[in-house]
Amino acid sequence: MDDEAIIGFMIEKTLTHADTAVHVTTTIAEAQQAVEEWNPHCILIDLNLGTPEDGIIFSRWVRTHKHSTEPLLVALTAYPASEEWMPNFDKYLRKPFTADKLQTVISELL
Amino acid sequence: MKAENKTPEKKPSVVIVDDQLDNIRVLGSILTSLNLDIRPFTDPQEGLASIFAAPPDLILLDILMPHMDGYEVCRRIKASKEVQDIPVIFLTAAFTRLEDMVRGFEVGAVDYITKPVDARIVTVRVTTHINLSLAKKTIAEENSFKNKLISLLAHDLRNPLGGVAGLLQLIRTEPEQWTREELFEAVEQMYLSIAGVQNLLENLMGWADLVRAGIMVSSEPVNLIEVIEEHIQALQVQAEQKGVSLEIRSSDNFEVTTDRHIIGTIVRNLTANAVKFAPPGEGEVVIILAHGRHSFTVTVQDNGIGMSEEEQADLFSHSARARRGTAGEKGSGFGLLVCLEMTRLLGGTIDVKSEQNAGSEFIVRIPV
Repeated sequence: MDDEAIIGFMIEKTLTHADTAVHVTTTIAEAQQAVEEWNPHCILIDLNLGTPEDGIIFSRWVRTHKHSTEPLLVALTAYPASEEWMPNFDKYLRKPFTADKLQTVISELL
Repeated sequence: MKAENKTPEKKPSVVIVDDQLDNIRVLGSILTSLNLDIRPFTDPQEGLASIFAAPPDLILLDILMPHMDGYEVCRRIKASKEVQDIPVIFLTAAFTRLEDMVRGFEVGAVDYITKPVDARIVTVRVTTHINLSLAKKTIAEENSFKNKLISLLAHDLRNPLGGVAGLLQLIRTEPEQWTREELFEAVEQMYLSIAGVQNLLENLMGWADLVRAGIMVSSEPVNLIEVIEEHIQALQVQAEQKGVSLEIRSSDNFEVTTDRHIIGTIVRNLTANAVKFAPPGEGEVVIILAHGRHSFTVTVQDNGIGMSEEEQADLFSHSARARRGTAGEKGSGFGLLVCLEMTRLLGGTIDVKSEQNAGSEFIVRIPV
């Protein structure tokens, strides 16, 4: 989930070329729908979707929601990790990140 | 709503706290001639309440008062983050001892005025500290705006440039994985990101010129339709992708004498906003050019989401937050500030008409 189109596109291409199925969303509503319909193994969440709280709110929703497979969460943010939100996430990827770095993080998790 | 020449400046305000009504009357009559908003109090508690409720630009404070002396009032003012920067001038009796005066400075006063007061001394000291206080406030506001701007720029540049760099790295390291269609899509994404960055940088440079007051306004005959077409070229691609029609309407070939760069920048920014807030797939943006008796107007209309009255009132302020577009487009909220300042440079005005879910209309009127 990232509202910057080019970041979403870059993530999609990086991971699909590494044989990973990817669904890109730009809003919380789309992301919630995708999580319910798709039940992903991992969710990458941009923390700042207009307001800095959006990504954190979404991560809380994921953690409190029932899933058949509990998804792993990766925070995407330009800011340093914070005690406020880090406990909700399994990994943290600081922007800007390279395709290599993204692949490494996803390989470590999945 | 109209945004034109700056709104009339609010009068600087002074709170006087002195338990002697006669002293307040004398000071009030001197300060009235300085065009100040004066708020007198004989009760220190009431004076403090007023200072906290509506922070003034200067405080004149008597020292010897029953129940609470001036030192204590000053200490309470200096202990509060909200009002501690307001300068306090103590009103003191002529026989005040040196150590009491030092004590006044130690609790945070910036100056003294000795009673019985002399009108010339009051005028000079009050004027000096009001001017210093206003200058400090302006610097603090500008500093806060610049900090906001730097943080916003860092964010708005990092994301698109990070995305472009990431994509290029991916294409460079594994070119064989990319189909022709994917490459076309990647180029399109990169073009849109770079166009956004370019727009942001152009606005930033325009703003820097305005702030430095170094911008030269030229006056030359221009064909406004051509100027606008040139400036909205990149927007045509975005509009097309979003399913928004973009049209220029004019009764003639529209030759006017103005500054080509400034008017082009104003129309580009207003059109970018119109495209941003127009509904995807059924959006309509129209740029209408019209001649008046002593001016020409450029109206940028859209059938988008419009604005509430609160949003319109805050539209041209430094604190205005950029709203997301109808396709999630981001913005810095910076373009409209540039538009307003540039319109003022041309001696013009911007009128805004908007209704929620019915669209907006920005009318730029430039005198000829």
